[in-house]
Amino acid sequence: MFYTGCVENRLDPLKLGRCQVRILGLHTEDKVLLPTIDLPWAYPLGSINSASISGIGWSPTGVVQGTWVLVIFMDECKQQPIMIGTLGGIPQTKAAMAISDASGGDLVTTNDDGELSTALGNVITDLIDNIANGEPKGVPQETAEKYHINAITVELSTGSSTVYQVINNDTNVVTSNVSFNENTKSYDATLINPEQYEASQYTPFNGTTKQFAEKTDILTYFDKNF
Amino acid sequence: METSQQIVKAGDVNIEAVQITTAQGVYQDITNQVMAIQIFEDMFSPFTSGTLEIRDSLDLLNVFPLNGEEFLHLKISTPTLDKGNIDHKFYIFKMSNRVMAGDRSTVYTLHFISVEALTDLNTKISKTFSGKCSDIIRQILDDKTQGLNVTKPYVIEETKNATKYISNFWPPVKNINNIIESSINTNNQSSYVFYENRVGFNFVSLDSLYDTNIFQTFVYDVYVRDKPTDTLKTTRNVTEDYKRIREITIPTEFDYIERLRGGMFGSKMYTHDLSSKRIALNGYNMLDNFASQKHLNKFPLASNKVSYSYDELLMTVPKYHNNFSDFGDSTNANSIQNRTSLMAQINGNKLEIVVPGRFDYTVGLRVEMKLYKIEPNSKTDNVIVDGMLSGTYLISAINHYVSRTMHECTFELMKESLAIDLDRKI
Repeated sequence: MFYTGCVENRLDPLKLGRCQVRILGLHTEDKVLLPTIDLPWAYPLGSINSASISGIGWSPTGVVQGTWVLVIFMDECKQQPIMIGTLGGIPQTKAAMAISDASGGDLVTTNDDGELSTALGNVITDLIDNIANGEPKGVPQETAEKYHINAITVELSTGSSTVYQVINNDTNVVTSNVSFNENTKSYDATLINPEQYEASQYTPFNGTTKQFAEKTDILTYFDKNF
Repeated sequence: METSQQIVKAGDVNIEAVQITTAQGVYQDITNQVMAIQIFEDMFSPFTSGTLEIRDSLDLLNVFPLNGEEFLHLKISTPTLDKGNIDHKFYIFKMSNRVMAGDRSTVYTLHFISVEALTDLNTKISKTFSGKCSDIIRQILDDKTQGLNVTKPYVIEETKNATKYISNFWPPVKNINNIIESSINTNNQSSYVFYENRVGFNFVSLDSLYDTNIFQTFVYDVYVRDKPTDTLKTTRNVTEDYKRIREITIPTEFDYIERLRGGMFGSKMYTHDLSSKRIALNGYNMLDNFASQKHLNKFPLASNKVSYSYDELLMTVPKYHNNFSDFGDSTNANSIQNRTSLMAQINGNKLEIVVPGRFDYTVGLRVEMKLYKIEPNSKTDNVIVDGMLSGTYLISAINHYVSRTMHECTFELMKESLAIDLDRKI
């Protein structure tokens, strides 16, 4: 059986071109329940023309974060995914996917229609209030420019647990898990991928969990520090 | 219904409450409408279930109405036994076999199951579990939103190993069954089972069940007579009556081919690691490992002359080092051969008996069976016990059958070893 997934991390510690892929129908979109770091590493299936050993052959590193891939599994329990190909498209409904796309180090730009888009040409839609208001796609020109100049903070899910992603003007993305701590009656925010940032850019958290009294404080904090 | 505080005969029972509560909070005691109750426990099943045979003259079907949204409170006990009762809440999930019995009554069967089964059906988990296997089981049992939310007592035997895996929108019990496959106990055995019994939930290895005291001895002897007790108040000895086997059936005494195919005697496993491209071959032999394991009886199910080869069961397991960040191989390659053999062994010898019922009988208990030979093997043979069938067994399944006047238990018993040495000189 084939599955479809979205690449969320391509920084394979084994340098084999593996990616952490969130597979639709198997893995929840809630990044608090299932952070990217907990996803299994999916192998890229090399072409039969490629030796794929001892450094010989084609590098299986074409995908970026946000790329949709077709996946099969080596085992019955679906723990060992294999990426067998990529799937093109024009993302319009999933903010998470679009933001993931942008987070791979690809430049966020404003296109000719005034829409925020990635270097791959994918329009970033459903940002902030656009989902709630039911607007089909795009963000206003001034908003896009503002976001491009300054950092944008995007809330990807709501409720007691939330994931925030921040894209700053260098197109770096800071991702944070946020959950309400019943004991301290505060919101705990933990950065997921701090290793992507240099210490000078990234002093506020330093890999530790930070507490906020209100959710809005998190947004303020991100806007101020990134 | 009147309840008795004393046991007059083996199989006495008190039905104290059979109460149905609807989702709207309407409740009705239906004890007097009950013709029979059956409660099923199984060591290889996660939940207790059962049936109620109802002769309904109150038109309960329309009063409630019954439509699969009701809870059942069942309180039944064996007189005088401190731990001999069932006092649980179940969920009624099915009605079947409805028959009109005249103008004013109808007969039907209600099927019920533990309320945790409902939680299991309605919960799908998508998250990665990491840590000691026993800790993950504890987490799944306790978790209110991402687990079974168990309020009953539970027993968890600590595991030696840790695992990491992703739950692909699996219900809690599927997660538990997945963990069971790779759990290894402190004696290096992978024979964990997860089941619910009268007491609560259990995540234990067969090893630990083999190591318990014998709860009851059952005797199959049609010539047993009632003996007077010391006080001479009655000629009926209830304690001895409880030991008597009313019926015994042995569906399959042995099946060599099944044992061979099931990997009981041995197996061969090829593993290949995706990352390191390392291929390995591992053999497993039941007889080589027998002495280091715990067993119900002293001797293995096979003699050392048994015909088998490692090729009887060939497994191919894809390993994957670093499948998850910061974790080595998370497959069950370390446990699968041992588990396959142990599970085939416990399924190697099964029999069914019917005995007078008691509610302190539950699955996972160790019992002794005494069956006698048809006749002595020779003139000098003074051993009267049947060595192949007698010995220590585990209760692997129970059907408590309770009518208005008596309680009877049908046991499925299993043993993975023999009381007789097959390598002895004859």
